[in-house]
Amino acid sequence: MTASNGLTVFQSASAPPGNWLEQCSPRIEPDMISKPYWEAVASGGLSVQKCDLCSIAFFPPRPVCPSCHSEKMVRWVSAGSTGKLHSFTICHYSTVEGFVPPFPIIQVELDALKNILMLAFLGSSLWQELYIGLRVELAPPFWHGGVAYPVFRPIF
Amino acid sequence: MRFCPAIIGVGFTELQRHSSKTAAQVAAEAAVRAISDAGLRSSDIDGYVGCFEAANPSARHYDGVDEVSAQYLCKMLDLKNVRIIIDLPQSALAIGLIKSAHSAVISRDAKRILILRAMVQPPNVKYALNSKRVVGGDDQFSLPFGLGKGGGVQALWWRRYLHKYNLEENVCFPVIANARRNAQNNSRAYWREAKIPSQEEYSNSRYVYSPLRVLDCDIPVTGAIAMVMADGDLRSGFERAAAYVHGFASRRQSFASQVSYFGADHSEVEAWQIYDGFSVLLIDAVERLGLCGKGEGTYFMKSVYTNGPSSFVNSFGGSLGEGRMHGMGHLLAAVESVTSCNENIRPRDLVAADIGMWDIGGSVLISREPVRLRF
Repeated sequence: MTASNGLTVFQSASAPPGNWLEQCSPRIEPDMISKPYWEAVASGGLSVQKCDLCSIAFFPPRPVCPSCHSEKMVRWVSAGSTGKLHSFTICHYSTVEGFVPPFPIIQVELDALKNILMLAFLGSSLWQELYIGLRVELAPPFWHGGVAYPVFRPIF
Repeated sequence: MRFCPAIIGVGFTELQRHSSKTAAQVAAEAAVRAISDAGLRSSDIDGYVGCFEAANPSARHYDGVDEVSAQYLCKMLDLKNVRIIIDLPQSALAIGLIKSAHSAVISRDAKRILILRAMVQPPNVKYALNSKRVVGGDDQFSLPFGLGKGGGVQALWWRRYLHKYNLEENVCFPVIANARRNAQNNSRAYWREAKIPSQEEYSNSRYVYSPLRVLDCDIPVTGAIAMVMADGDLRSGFERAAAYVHGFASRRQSFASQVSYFGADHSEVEAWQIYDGFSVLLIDAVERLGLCGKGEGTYFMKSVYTNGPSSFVNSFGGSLGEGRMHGMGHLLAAVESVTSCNENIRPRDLVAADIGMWDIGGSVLISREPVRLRF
């Protein structure tokens, strides 16, 4: 579709967010620390790190545990596929190039690891129905620029 | 025992929008005024604390143009006797500037330090726009989802806060109204001649990141604020009233406990200049500072606005009323509060400035009377 400013907006088969992203939106370059996370998303799942020494899970990824600084006891674990909306916002004035407002930003709290919050794309056009605590589930990832991004859809 | 360092001179420029002035121009203007206000010459300055980095994501980072480094400014002003330079990144906020200067004076690295912050809002530039095409580090978990600077993080926090305390949207109106009302007494304030918005006007103003509205955000401006901090033991030679900087408390500690450490009582603080780059940050701050209980911030500010004294919080209008000076406006207002160099503000004995976001940053206690260091 063509945005109001004349730029071509990326189309995606998996519902929004393709509707508000332009080709020039930021793309990630997975690095040694984050690569397992992005690979898990590409496989249709979610992974975060957990420290076997102090038992905490943490995100974003780090080379060492942010709590006990252990390096060897940190491993990647499945983060499950369900959660609830911890918070959300609808952006009406974009501060990131390539995003055509309005668009939603959701912050998901995962069921499997309660202290983990992560941003994801919303796999729904029902922005008016969002509320804190809304149950969400992992949807097929959104591919953009050769990278898969996590998408959650509401469980109404 | 030695005396606490003191602010002995201040200087500032007009705050403008879409100005063609460069960072170096406004910085130099403010610095010259501060040095003159302190009754000094440039050769008397033996230390410099500044911020070399523009804060906005759209900054091109041209030294002297949209930001100004210590090297650039010291050369421009011929500060030939500077022995210590502390040039901080923009994440330091104003509290980092004054704390660094304070430490340098106490450790006798310098006796008279110039502290400076210049902000630039260039014409034809979308101030908060992040144009990175490829992102890494922590940005890879936020920017690709549309969460940039400019209120997104604050909006997520604020929605959570409203949910937690069962509050309606638009309860931040008293913060904005208080800011705009106090701005009318501030000759620097960008909004000094603007009408105070009504609750309805606030509630109908456009969203930036819902539930945050455009009136919840400070306005970027071009301008600079400078101060000269001197060793408190030189007070007999001060040309004008000084503001003595007692000490600091980080956001991670109880400010009340820190105030008591410096020999004062929490209730003795007569005015608070609290960072309000976004209105919701002030709500969080008044709760963290113990001015009210958790979840009571909006009620507290409503009381300040309706019952007063409105000058108890952000007597100069805050960032929301004055313009975006990244906390330097708050420090300047705290200094003015105790030195009464601003004829519109009643002199105070003890004032605090709190600058930060959530648990980043901290508070500083400033008094009119000389105070001895506690160690």
